[in-house]
Amino acid sequence: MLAAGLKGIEDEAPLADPVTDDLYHYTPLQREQQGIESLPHDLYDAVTTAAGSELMRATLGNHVLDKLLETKLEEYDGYRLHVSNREFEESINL
Amino acid sequence: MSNDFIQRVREFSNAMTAYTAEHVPIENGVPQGLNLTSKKEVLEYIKEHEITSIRLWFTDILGFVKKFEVTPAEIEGAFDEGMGFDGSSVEGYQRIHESDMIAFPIAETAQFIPFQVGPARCIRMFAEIRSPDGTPYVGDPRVILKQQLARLPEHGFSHMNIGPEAEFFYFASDTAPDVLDHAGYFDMVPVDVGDDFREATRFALQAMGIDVEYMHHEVAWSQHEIDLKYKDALRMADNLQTYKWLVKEIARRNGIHATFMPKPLSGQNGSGMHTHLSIFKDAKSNAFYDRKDPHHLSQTARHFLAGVLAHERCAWSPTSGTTRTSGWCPVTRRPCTSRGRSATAPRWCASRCTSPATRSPRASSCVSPMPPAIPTWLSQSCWPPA
Repeated sequence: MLAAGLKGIEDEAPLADPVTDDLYHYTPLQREQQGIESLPHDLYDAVTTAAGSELMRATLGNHVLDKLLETKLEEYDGYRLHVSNREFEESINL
Repeated sequence: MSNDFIQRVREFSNAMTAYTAEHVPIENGVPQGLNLTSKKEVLEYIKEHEITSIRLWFTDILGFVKKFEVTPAEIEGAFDEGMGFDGSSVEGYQRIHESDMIAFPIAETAQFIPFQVGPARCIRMFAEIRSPDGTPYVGDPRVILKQQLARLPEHGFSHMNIGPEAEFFYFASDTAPDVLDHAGYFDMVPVDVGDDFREATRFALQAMGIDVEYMHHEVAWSQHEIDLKYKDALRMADNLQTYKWLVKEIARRNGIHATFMPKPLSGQNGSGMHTHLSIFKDAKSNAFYDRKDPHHLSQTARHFLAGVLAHERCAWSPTSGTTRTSGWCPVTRRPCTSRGRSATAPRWCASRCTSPATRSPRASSCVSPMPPAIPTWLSQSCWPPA
C-alpha cells in the first residue's frame, strides 16, 4: 500500500472524483458505463494480475512474490478441483 | 449458549491481572507494557523478573507468525550471534540447499506475556531474520516493510502511521461455525455474548504495550472488532500480529474459538479490516491534511490515494489472497463516497480527517477483504458484503 501510494506521489497521479452513489446497487453494466473497474474476480485473476505487476515485483522482490503466487495458485487449484456438497446436490440428477 | 463462560472468563481475568501486575507497570488500572530499549535492559528484566522462557517471533511470507522458545541461559548469545534455524521448513523461506537462517532478537519489541504458559513465565521479542552472511533476509516480511519505510525520507516524509480495525468471529469450537450470539452492530449485553472475552483481550493487549481505541460487537452474529490506536507502521505490524494471536489465544484459554477467517457464515457479513493510514512530514505535520480542501485532503494525499487505487488490482492477491476474499467483494477502483459505510468500494474517507492535523493522524481509508493472515508488510482492508 505504501509502495503504491509513493508511486502515485512520484507520478503525480490524478485522483478521480468521488462517486457518491452506493455502488453496491449498481449493475455490472452501470459500473462499466461509468468507467468503474472491479477488483480481481477470483484468486486466479488476482494471482495473474500480481504476477505481471512491476510494482509488486519491485516491492516484494522476486523470491517472495514468486513463492507467494505459487502458493496461491496451489490454493486456487485445490478449491477448483474440490466438488462441494452444493454442487453435488444441484447436479446429481443431471 | 449457557452463561458458564462468564465465571470462567472472570477467573481467567483475575489470574491474568494479578500475574501481570507483578511484572509490568500499571497506571490507573491500565497495564502499560514494557519499554525496554537495549539488550542490556532486556537481560536485566529477564533476571529481575525470573523469566524462564523467551519467545522469538517472526512472520512467514503468508503472514503467519512462527515462533520458537529460547531459555534465559541462551538469550545473550542469541542477541550477539543470533539463533540458527532451518529456513527450508518455513513457508516461503529458503530453498533446501541454502536452508540455514539466523534469527536476531529485537530488544525494543520485548513484551511480557500476560499469562503463564505451562510452568513458564514468558516474554516475547520479534526477531529479524538474516542470511548466514549477516544480511537481512529478503523473505522476511518485516525486512520488506523496513525497506519500504526507508523510502519515506526520499519523499520528504518522516514516518507513516497505521490504525487497523480487524474484525473476527467467536465460535463455540473450531469444528463448526456455531455462533455464540445473534447480536449485531453495537449491541449490548446480554445479547452480545462477547463482552467478557473482549475485555479480557483488551487487558492482555494493553499488558503487551498495545493501546486500544475502542471495541464493540460487529454487524454479523458473533462478530467483533477491537480497534488498535494508531502507531508507526513497523510497530503496528508487530502489534497487529500480536493482536491476532491474543484474540485467538484468550479465546482458546477460555474454551471458545476465535477466527479471522474472512467469510465463515453464509448470509452474514464477512470480516474485514478498515485501515487508516497517514504520512507525516515531521512529528506533528500530517502530509495528508489540508484545512482548505473540502474533504480536508492535501494534494499529496490525493496522489497517494490515486496510486493505491491504480495498483489495487495487482496488490489483491498478497493482501486478500484466499478463494473467498477474491471475487467476493464487488469492490471497484473508483474512489467513492466519503461517509457511507455500505459494502461497496475502496473509498476515501473525508469524514475521518476533519480533526486538526496534529490531533488526527488519520487521513485516508480504504476497504477491501482480509486474508486469513495479514502480511505485515501490506495492510489493506475490506468489508465483504453479506
